[in-house]
Order: sequence, then structure tokens, then C-alpha cells
Amino acid sequence: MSDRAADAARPLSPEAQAVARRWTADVAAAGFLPAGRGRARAALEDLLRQLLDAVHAEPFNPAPGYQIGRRLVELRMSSPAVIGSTIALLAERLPELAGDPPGRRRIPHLMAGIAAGFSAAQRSAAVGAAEDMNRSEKLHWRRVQAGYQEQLRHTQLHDPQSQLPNRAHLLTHLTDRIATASPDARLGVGLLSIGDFAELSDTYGHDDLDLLLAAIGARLQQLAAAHGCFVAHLGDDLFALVVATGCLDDLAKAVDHACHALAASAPGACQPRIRTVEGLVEGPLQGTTAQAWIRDARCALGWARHDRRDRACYDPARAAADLRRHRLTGAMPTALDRGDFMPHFQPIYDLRSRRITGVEALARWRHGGQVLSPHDFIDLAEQSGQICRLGRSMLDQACRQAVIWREQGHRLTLSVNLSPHQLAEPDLPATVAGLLHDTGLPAAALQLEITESAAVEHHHQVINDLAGIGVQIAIDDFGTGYSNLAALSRLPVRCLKLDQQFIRQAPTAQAVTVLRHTRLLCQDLDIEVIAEGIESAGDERLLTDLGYTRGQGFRLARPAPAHTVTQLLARQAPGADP
Amino acid sequence: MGCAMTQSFGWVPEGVDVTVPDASRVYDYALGGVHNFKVDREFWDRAERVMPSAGLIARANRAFLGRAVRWLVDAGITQFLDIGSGIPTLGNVHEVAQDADPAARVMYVDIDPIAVQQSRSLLSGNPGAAVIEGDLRRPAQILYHPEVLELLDFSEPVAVLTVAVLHFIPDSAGPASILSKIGDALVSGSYLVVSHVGPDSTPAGRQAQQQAVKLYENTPTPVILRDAEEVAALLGPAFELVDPGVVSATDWHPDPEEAEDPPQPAALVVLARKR
Repeated sequence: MSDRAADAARPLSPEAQAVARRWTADVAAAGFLPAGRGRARAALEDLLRQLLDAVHAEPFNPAPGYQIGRRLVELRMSSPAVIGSTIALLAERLPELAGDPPGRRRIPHLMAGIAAGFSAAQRSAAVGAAEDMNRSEKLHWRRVQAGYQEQLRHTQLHDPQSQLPNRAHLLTHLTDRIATASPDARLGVGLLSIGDFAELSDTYGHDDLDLLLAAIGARLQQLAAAHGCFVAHLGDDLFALVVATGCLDDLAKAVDHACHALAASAPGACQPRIRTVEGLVEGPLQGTTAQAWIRDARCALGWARHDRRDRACYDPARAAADLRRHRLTGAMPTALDRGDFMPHFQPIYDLRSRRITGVEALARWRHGGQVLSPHDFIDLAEQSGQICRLGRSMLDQACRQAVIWREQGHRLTLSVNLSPHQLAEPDLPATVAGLLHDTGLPAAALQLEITESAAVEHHHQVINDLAGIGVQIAIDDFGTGYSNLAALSRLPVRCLKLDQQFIRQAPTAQAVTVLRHTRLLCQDLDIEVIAEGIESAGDERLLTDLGYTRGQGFRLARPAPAHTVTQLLARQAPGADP
Repeated sequence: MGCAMTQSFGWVPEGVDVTVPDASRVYDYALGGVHNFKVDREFWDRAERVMPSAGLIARANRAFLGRAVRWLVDAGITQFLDIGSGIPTLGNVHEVAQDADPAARVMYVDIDPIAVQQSRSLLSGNPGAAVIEGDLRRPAQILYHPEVLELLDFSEPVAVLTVAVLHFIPDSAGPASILSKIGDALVSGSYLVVSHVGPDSTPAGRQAQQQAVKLYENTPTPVILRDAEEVAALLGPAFELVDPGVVSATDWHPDPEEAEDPPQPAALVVLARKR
């Protein structure tokens, strides 16, 4: 633009115009003119005008020559032939345009400047181009690397089969939501497990299962887009759904949609229907952690499976109870090693004489400053396979205590409970015999209590073997099972412990009748009866009126440590123990 | 690529193949540009030795591009899609178009990611010009590219430039079909600009040309010569030829200043209008 403004300022002489035309032709022959021939000639006319001005300027300044050389390159007249033809042309024609000798003497200085300016600009252009290419290529490769990194990141955060976000992605998503949550924001997380996944896997085969997971991934992605929720695949059969909620119902609806999407994912009309089991957790978002959401949803899923239901919702109270149970289970082996389990003893009385005729050993666990009762830990011991070790320990400790009492002159019958798991141990009779031998307790002084169902359904051989070594067999909690005396009559049962529910149901006429006839039947079968759960004077009076002679319960004495029972025994009026 | 060769270009990032001549870098060198490597310069020097007119053909072609863009702006076109734009050094479409109409918008497309990156850095700060990576053989990916649709309004006429690029598309890739698909995306009144290497007019010229074509056979982009009739056939029924039809670049609305330049019959050009 400045070229054209200068161009219009002052016309060149016809001679100078001829030189400019020749210059343009030479430059055009030397290389490509991007702006076209006309513009090139105008630009060169302007440069020629500047050159002539410099020739005549007072005082003389050679700098314009350098600038003209640079300008040629800027005008993209930059091929090596341009500077050659320019020097040749100007050396030939400039002297006649310059006129007087002083002007002519300045021409070599200006020409030197043109050559130097052209070279300097040419060098700058070449180096600049190299830098530009270098930068461009670096930028390009940075983009390529960024692409690879994005691919890698996608791989790290997505399941390869379903292409859904994976567990790591889910954790990040939850963490982000928690970090940006408003105070009243709520969230729902649902874990969906495909039921019978192993069978489904067998049905489809490996490759088809991958296709199924891909189909599930696609359907859940559609669902996520349509309902504004986040879905993830935590591996194999487990999918997660995260949705902003106002209440649990919102989560339940979203999970319903996801279940339908999963069910509809199976390709082919004859394929088995996909069934899901779901664990849900819903609540305020602030102050939580991503891990806690997944843990709680997983906990709820576990309950759904355990309870054989399609769906379970997280309940903090149940979770706390579960946690306590898990901790107790974990602590049990060490507690057994340390001897934290010990027996308490509940006296069994002769209801007529009010003398103690026996004791029932009941396990207690000293744990965390408390003493825990069997209902806190027996199930856990059975589930974790530690019941046999616990039972053996109780039997051993109780036998040793019974021997001490015998040595004090108290010939008590020791009742010890046996779990069905213990009955299933083939070496139980040998173990009991060994204990009796080690402790010195006579076999007849030991009464092993087993449940009615265990006695009737299984373990007949073990029960016979135990009776064979002289141990008495009692049926515990009689009346809670089949109450099948005919079946029991085939077993070497010496005693029935009548469950306390009979007493609780009294004094209805029917209950009293059952109590009366049970005692009479046992009397005819030569089976002793011990009434459990005597809690009041009325209970005791009813039982004695019906002819019951032995019983236990809080009315008579609570379970207590051995030394307490020792004191009770000592306070009894002297007399022969049974 | 040999390790020694890579090391000799100390500043070239690993992975850039500078051992094979690249069509766009060769063209840049042919026009006097400096965005090229030694292998490109050596290739062009060899081509010029076997075909001394090669440089003039390249320049005639590039000069035609400038004249065609100015002609199109004069015809009211303000949107340009330059496919196969190469290294944007000498005679850029956006410089010419925006000099004639500052509101002109130009979208460059090239298959070479390096050329695209160089274009991107050159165009930074120019809201009326942009560049994407694209392959002429997949026109849909260019025409429906989000950046293309953002810059260009296809409900208005667009000039599509395929300058010195169709002679790299073999018949097996369906150049006529490619142009037809491009034509489908254009409204009536749009333009298509084509330049293409054609056979020289003399036996000696054609012999030299064949030797140059053989040289190109050893590059990733062999050249296919098509004569004026074949070039016209590529355009299909969607386009009507604008006068003077398929002609030599030097004969297409020549600049009076350049009237004395030697004719270049091997540089065929045509400007066509969407019916």
C-alpha cells in the first residue's frame, strides 16, 4: 500500500521507467512473482525512485541501498538470480540516470548496500523458514502425542469390551461430583450385576460374550445420554449407574431403565433373558468419598444376593451390624488363641428340694471390655468354620471346672451344647473320650445337648457312639422342631430340655395339656425332662404342680462365672448331691 | 528412514520422513520458497534437468491461481475452499482474496499434517482463513468437516480450488466422482477451479515430460497426465465451463504485463460454474 502511495507521488523520467521495465522483466525471468507482473513493476519503480533519491541526497547516506536489498526479498523477489540481474542492470544503467560524477561515485556504495541487504534478508528468511518448519513439525508431533495420550487415557479409563468408563473413571467422576457439589445436592449410585453370568458366558461363548458386552455398553451409553446419568462397567458382570437425585425413587427409576436396557441387549430372539441383581445407595453428596459410594452400593448388592432378592437398598444400621459381625469374625481366631472364650454356668435345680443338681455350660467371650453371649458369635463361628475349635475349648474348660466341683463334693451333671458342625466331625467321640480321660470327669457326669433337628435328621452313628462311651445325650430346645418323640425313642436319649416357649404359652389350657402329657410320655419312655426358662414363681408353681422335678431359668439362677456358682453350691444346705 | 539421515537434520523431529520428496515441498521450492528439504530441492533440480520448462509451468500455474482468485472475487465470490493447498508460502489464496475483498473467507485443506500445521501458524490471527487436514479422495470428510462448515456457508456460492492436485489422483480413485460429490454440495453459482498437468505440445517436450513423470513415479505422489478433453470430462454435467474453457494457464485471462511470457501448453486450467 505504501509502495502505491509513493508511486503516485512523483513520476519517473521516461529513461528511469524503461530501466524499471527491464528490471521487472529480469526479475520475472529469475523467479515467480506472486503478486503479478504489474504490481512487481510498480514496486520496482518505487525502489528505483528511492535509489535515485539516495544518489542525489545531501549529505550522502548509503543506508537506503541496504533497505532496497531487503525490500526485494520482502517482495518475494528472492531467488539468487534476482540479485545477480539487479546488480548487472543497475551497474549498467544507473550511472546515466545519476548524471553528475559525484552521484556516480556513490553508486558502488549503494550497490554494495543492496547486495548486503538482499543477503541479510535472504538469510533471515531462510533461517526463519527453517525455524517455522521446525516449530510446525514440533507442534504437529505434539498434537500426535496428545492424540496418543488421549487414546492411552481412554484405554486406561474405559473397559475394553463394553467401551464404558471403568472403575478408575467412575472413582474420578464421583470425586469430581463430590468436589463440586452444592450443599443440598443428592446422588444415587446403583450397581447392577448380571445374574447367572457364568451360565450366560457358557451360553454365548467367549467371542459372543464380548459382543454382548459391547451391545450392553452401547445401550447403557444411549441411556446415559438420554437421562443425563453416568454409567460404568466395573468388570465382567458388574455395571454402575450414577445419577443426581432428589430421593431414592429417582435412583430406582433410573436403575429400572438400565435394567430394561440390559435385558434388551441380548442379540437374537432365542437368547436367554438377562436378569439383574441391583444394589442401590442414595443420599447427600457433600462430605462423602467416591470409595464410600461404591462400597455402600456393593454392600447393598451383597444383601440383595444374600436375601435372594432382585434389589436391595443400602441401610446404615444393617451395614453397621454387618461390620460388627465381620470384625468379630476376624477377631475370633486370636481370641481363641488368647483364651478369651470361657464358660459361664447356669445351675439346673431339683424343683422339689431347690438343690442344684447340674449346670449348663454356656460360652462367653470377653471382647473389648464386654462379655458377649452366644447369640452374638455362635452363628459367626459356624459360618467361619471355627465352631469346632470353640466347642472343644468350651468342653475342655467345662469338664475341668466340673472336676473341681466334684473334688469339692458336688456331684453335678455337666451339660454342654454341641453344634451340628461338631456332630459332623467323625472323631468327636474320640475327642470327648480323650477329654474325659484327661480331665478325670466320669462319662456319666457329662450330658451333651444336641438340637432336635440334628438328632432326628443326621448323625445317628455319632450320637450312638457318644452314648456308647457312657455320656448322656440330651435333646436341647425340645418343642421347637418336630417334637417327634417316636423318632427320638430310637436314639439313646436320656433327657429332654423343654424349650421355654412351652412355659411362655402357659397358662392356656392347651399348653398346660401339652406340658402334662409330655412329662407323662417321657416318664413312660424313661426320659428325664428339664424345663427351661423358669422366670417367675408362677412358672415354677405350674411346673411343680404338673409333676416336673428339674428346671432352670432366671427365677432360679442366671448363668454366672464358675466362682459364683461355687458360692451358690457352698451356700446350699449340706446334703448328698445326686 | 536411516538413523544417519535423521541425525543429519538435527532440528527435524523424529518421525518426519525427509528422505522422500514431498509434492507440496517440491512445489514450494519450484516457486522459490524456502520451506523445503534437501531431498525436495534435489528432486526438483533433477526434474528441471530433464524438463527445463518445469519451473515455468509451475510459475504459470501459480500465477493463474492468483488471477483466478481475483477474477472470482470480481464475480462476487467471497468464499474459497482450497483443496491441496500445500505449503502456504508464495501467492496464498487468502492474501490475494482478502486484498481484493477483506471480507473474503478461505479454508485451506491439505493431506500433509506438517503443511497443515505450517498453514495454521501462518494463519493465526486471521479470522477469515483456516486450515484442516483432509484428503481430496474423501470429499465428504472435507465438505462436512465442522471447521469447514463453521467458516464457509454452503447456502451461498463457494469457489472450490483444486489447483495442481488432480494430476495426483489416478483414474482408479475416481477423480470425476470426487468432483461430482463436491458439486453436489455446492449451490448454483458456485465455481470450481482446476489446474492439471497436460501433455506438452511438441514431441521433444512430451519426451522430456515423460522423463519427469518417471521421476515422480518414485515419490508417494505419481503424476497422471490428462489432456484438455479428459480434464473437461472430469467436471461432469454439474458444471458448465466458463470461457475460455480448458486452456493453457498462460492463455487464461492473461495479465497484459505478462503477454510476452512463453506459452505453457502443459499447464491446463479451467474455471467452471455450478449449474
